[in-house]
Amino acid sequence: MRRSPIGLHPQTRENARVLGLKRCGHVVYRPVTNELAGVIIKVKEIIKLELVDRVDPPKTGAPSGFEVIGRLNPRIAPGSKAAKPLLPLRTRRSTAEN
Amino acid sequence: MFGSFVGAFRPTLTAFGGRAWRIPWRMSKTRKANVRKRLREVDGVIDTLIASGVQCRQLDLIKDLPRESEMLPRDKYTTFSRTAKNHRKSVHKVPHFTKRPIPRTTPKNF
Repeated sequence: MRRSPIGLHPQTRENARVLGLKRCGHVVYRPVTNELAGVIIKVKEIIKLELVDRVDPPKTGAPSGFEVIGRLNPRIAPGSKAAKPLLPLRTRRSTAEN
Repeated sequence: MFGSFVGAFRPTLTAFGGRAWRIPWRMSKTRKANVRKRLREVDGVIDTLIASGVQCRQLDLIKDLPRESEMLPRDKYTTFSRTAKNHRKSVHKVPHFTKRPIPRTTPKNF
């Protein structure tokens, strides 16, 4: 988000919030969908938009420091949705909104 | 900043006699240059959306609007006003004009 939404229409501010933009200079990565395109158009004056090929910001060289070797909760099946990490890497093209 | 004509008085806003809030009727060259820069940035956002290949009704409506290089100076630096003389006023008199969507075309017959 390049400009603050202060002073703008409440619906415009809501659109910025829906995109996940919380403050000036905040960079978010979102998938390329028709629904989000309409939201982006509402806030086009205050954001900068780029097309990128990844959803997560580039990881630094530092390791995460842990590795999941098992789960305490036996009800989570290994291949289920709950077993997946919270931020899965997506390979679809995405937009980075600044 | 305003100390030159205030003289020996305390530089309060009251002492300025209303001169601290003067708004010029026209924009300076730098201000106009920044208006053009912001228009080009919005053009860039619209271009990125078109390049991403989304199908969006709002995008269809705005992608045919003139770009900054195709706009008349009259449309870049002034906007329609119901109350002003000749129904036009400078765009810097619109509150938050730097981040608010300003129409790129004039209403018909104005």
